Amino acid sequence: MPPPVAENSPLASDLQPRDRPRFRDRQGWKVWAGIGLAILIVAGGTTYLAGQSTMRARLMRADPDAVPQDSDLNRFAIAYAQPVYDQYCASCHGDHLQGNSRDGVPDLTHPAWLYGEGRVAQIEHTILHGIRAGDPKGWNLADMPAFGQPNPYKRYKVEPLEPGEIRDVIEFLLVSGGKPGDRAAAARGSKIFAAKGQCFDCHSPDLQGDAAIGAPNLIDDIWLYGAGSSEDIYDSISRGRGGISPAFAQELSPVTIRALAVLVYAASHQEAAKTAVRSPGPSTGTGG
Amino acid sequence: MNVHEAVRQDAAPAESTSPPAAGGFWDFKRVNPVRSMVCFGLGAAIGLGIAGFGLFTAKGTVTHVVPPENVALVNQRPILRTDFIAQTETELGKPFGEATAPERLKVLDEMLREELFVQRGLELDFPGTDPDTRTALVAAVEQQVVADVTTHQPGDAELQKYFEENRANYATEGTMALHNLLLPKTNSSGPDAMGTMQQAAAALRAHTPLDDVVKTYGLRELVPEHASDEQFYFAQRIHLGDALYERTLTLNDGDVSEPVAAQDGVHIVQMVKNIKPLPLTFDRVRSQVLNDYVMAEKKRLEDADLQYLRDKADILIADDYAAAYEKNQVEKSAEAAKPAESSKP
Repeated sequence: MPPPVAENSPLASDLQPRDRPRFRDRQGWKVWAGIGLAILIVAGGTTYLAGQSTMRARLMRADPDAVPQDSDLNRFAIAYAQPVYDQYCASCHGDHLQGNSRDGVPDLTHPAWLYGEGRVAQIEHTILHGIRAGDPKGWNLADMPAFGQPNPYKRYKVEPLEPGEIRDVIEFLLVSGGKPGDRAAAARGSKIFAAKGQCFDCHSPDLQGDAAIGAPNLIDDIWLYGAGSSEDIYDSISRGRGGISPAFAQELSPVTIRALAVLVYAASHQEAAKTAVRSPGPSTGTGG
Repeated sequence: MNVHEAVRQDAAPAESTSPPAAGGFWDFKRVNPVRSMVCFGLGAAIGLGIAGFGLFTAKGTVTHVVPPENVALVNQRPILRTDFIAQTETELGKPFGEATAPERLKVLDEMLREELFVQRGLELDFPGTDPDTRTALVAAVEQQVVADVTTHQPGDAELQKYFEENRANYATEGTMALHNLLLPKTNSSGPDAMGTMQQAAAALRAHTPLDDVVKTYGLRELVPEHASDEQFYFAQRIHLGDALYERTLTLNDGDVSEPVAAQDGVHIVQMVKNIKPLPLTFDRVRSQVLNDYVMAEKKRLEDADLQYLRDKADILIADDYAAAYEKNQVEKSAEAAKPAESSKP
């Protein structure tokens, strides 16, 4: 009987039968599988990236206002924009684009728009260049003067109003909007609106505002700041308003901005919003 | 021959000096020099490809492909599609989708023309000579600071801190309704006038009707033109003048001030209603705090930018202005530091 060979002997492996496959041989199929998998991953990744790139190019080359009618592009844009919205926009506009009337942040799910008519191209322009954000191409034509301050307006001379005059203007707005109010005070308020306050200049003589400069409609019962109470309106008239929306032209890529515009457009158009936005929030404020 | 010897004899051919035969290209069990070289070459080609892609697509490199976000490149400077769309809508006054192809091409041609002229203007150094261009550049740089500030929204904690540090700015504007009575210099002056007004004040405090007091002491009530009774504090300050306004601030409803001598005579004020400024809560003024915060940040960044530019610039000022300029700068720095120190909690 031959003496036993120690397992850790350098000669131990040589004592294995010749027909038993060595480690590399035994793992051969795994190497092949690994290579195959890697090729599949690379091919899949490349195909995916190429597809994404093609969609991004399509999105950029399309007429922005026509994107919502192209279901593929629309779906791609919304999916592309959602994480960006969460990162850059949700802190102000809310997780569900519902805005915040306490801070004058518009409800983006509402169909009413302060600037423009809410077309994708217009929304895109606002995201790119902002509102009072220091971008020369942005919306920056007017602010709401602070009529309860010694110098209400920085851009040109406007006379301050007296407390009673402000209250009269508020009555005028409430009565014009179909709410109960003091009609005599409203009559006085209408004169202030049309003369001393120069309110008509931005809000238009019919009080319906001017989307070209972001002057809100005052009789549609949609309020950017507060809920339309006399106190809220008094604050706006006496202390002034001038909300800011950042300009993202330097921060985000053009395709991301276009995708965001499509997302916001979808949210503000009810039927599209049902499928576009993850779960639309309550419509409580003013459309941006 | 024992087992050990047998094993050595079997092992000997494997350890012979001749190299093992090379395996086939796809035989991963054996070393294959051709495969090694192919893998090496493949790796090198992929590396070069990645480097080349990065090199030729980086910003500033020449490309002959117009990226999808641009409508044209003029000497490699892009004309953005978004600008093209905005320009088309502005010029035509209708949505981009409604613009015909010739209309779009016309706008594109105009934009190309503009870009060419801008580039030529830069070559001619218009920013160095043309006042309008310089003004526009200064405004653009100033505004860029706001853009940097606004894209980074402050959190509630930052805003709350700013609010606490500037609480005085967040209060309702006080209002006053009052009677400003004057004993004109032409009627009486000196100690007599002060005595008369003290009697008039006493009478008012004793609830004598205002009209009776006016008639009895020969007074005149000053009513600002086109103004109603109730006025904001700032407006009353303008109407009353600083000295008289300071006296009225402490008056409660129905109080009568001590006589105050002014250039036009002696005044007393009877306060009808004094609604003092009330501090506003953070929640109520949050939007205003945000705007003020942004403006304050803008100012801070502007100053910092300017300081940085000054520090890195080589500014030489003529001898006849150098000393005065330096003194002025020191004074301005000291002045700017004052509010910052006083605003510390």
